[in-house]
Amino acid sequence: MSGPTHIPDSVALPRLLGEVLVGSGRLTGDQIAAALAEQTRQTEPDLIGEILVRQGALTPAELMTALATRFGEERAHYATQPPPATAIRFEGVEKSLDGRKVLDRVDLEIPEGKITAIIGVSGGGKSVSLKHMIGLMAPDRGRVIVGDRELGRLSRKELLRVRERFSMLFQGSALFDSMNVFDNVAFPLREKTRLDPATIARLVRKTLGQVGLSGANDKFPDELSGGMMKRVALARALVTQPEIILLDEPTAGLDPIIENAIHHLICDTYLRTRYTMVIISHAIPHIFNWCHHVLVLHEGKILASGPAVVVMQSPDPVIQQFIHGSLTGPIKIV
Amino acid sequence: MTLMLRNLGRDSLQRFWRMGHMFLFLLVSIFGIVRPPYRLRNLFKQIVFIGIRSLFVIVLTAAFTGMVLALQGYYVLSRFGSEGMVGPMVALAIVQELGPVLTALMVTGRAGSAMAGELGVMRIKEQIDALESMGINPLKYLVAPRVEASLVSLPVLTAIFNVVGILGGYLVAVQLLGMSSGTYWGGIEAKLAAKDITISVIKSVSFGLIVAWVCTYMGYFTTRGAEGVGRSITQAVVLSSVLVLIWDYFITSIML
Ligand SMILES: Nc1ncnc2c1ncn2[C@@H]1O[C@H](COP(=O)(O)OP(=O)(O)O)[C@@H](O)[C@H]1O
Ligand SMILES: [Mg+2]
Repeated sequence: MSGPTHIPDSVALPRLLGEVLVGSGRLTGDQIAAALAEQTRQTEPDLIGEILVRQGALTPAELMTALATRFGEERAHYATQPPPATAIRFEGVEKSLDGRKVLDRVDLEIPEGKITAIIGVSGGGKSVSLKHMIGLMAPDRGRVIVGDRELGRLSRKELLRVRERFSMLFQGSALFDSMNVFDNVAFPLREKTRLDPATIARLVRKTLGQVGLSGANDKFPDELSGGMMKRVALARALVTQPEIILLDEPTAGLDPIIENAIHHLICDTYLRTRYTMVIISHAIPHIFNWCHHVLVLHEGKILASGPAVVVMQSPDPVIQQFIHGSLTGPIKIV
Repeated sequence: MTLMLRNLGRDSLQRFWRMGHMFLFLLVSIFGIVRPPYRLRNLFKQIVFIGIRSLFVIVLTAAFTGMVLALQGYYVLSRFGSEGMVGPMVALAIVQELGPVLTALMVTGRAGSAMAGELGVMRIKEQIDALESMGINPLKYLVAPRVEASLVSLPVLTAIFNVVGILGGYLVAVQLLGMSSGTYWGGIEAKLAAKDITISVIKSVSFGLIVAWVCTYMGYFTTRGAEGVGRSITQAVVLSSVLVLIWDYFITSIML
């Protein structure tokens, strides 16, 4: 990776966590405060990390704190605003699988350009609803609308076109076993773009650096730990720079440190790109700090939906039980 | 009784549906072969896997098949005093029947089961969904190259089987049983017609299609975890082998 902290000439492309991690130095609280101050002075605020880097060297921890602060402000602000445009909408979606009703007349809206978390107990239909968003599953009844296009009405070709706006991280990572890490991440670029090999190699190396896996290029999926697989899958989802990113449990099964790092990475990516993101997560209550909007999906129905700061305070006993993970309450543990 | 009838009705309906489904799968995959983009690297990889990696086992099978045919043929034919016909007998049996059929069965066992397993694992680990989510047609990306490679590989492997098998017969008949080399080769030259070779080629091409089609289909529609992968492999091997034998009977009855 790059040597000591170096600011690219195009400041419009702020540096990412991983890149900054490499060339880190020392930074005081005063410097962070100064950076925050400068950020509030700017009419078009830069990323906090970017400002900090511009002002001098930085430790990863300090950058993470700065990121969390920045995103916390944004979350609070989101709750006070009227709802933004809708990127994805479900209207009365029903789906039965193996004779069981998995989604039962689900209506939901994913706000555009925001991070939405879907939470709920296992088997509640979260992954299934994510697969509906990208057209991997079709509803038995009801409509799935992406932007202004109803997926059920599209020809296969049009559906493929819509899918190009997406990328998805699958719950089980879904890396290709026959390819090494580098080829896995390069795959969507090689197949779906006309970029030359040198550009692809550069993008892949950069993205792998961002997820903290610079040295793993030649490893095969079966040689990776669960956490590394998730991060490779995340890199593969991010490398194509889609408009909508669907992340199915990107932190499940990871240790708290990596979980935290991935949340920061997602947040950093979001602040840099403003993609629409949908994250399925069991990382409760942490995930509330890393999303604007929350949907609670329980037994095939949307139980609650709204800004994270609002849902977190919801008096609904089911939601409270879920947030606190208590064994007693309306959700019966069999 | 009515329940039995109803079950029977439902079963045959399901079977009918499944056959239609399999046929559609084949059509779409063949469509995938003829339409760009062509991924030559994928095709090459599959040819290496299906064709070249099967070479050893094909040569081994062919040699012993030819040898045992010559041995058997010699003892049977000598009872009628026509042991001179061992050469043509070995050649005709191998070129028309055993070459294409045994090659297809060996490829089913070696490469077909692997195809079903590989695609099955890709299905249950959501790798096929991942391809779809990237806007890549998995039938075209995964199935088409396997079908193509199989169509190319089987005729070549069968030809190799035929040659090695006849050489194996030569080894036993001439070197072991003391038949004259001229009788062996002369008989073959006199009796083996171009039509026999045509049958061999037609059979091997259609077997190539059957093997790849059935095995990729079974793998592609795997459900229910690791156990499902095992079941897909078994079904692929059994169905592919049975279809090869049935189809072999059909072609033989038409062409002879
Ligand atoms: N492809 C499938 N075939 C059959 N049943 C499925 C399939 N995918 C999911 N299910 C069932 O749907 C229910 C919801 O699954 P899922 O959406 O994966 O739950 P989660 O909320 O934990 O992600 C589960 O009971 C699961 O068994
Ligand atoms: Mg799930």
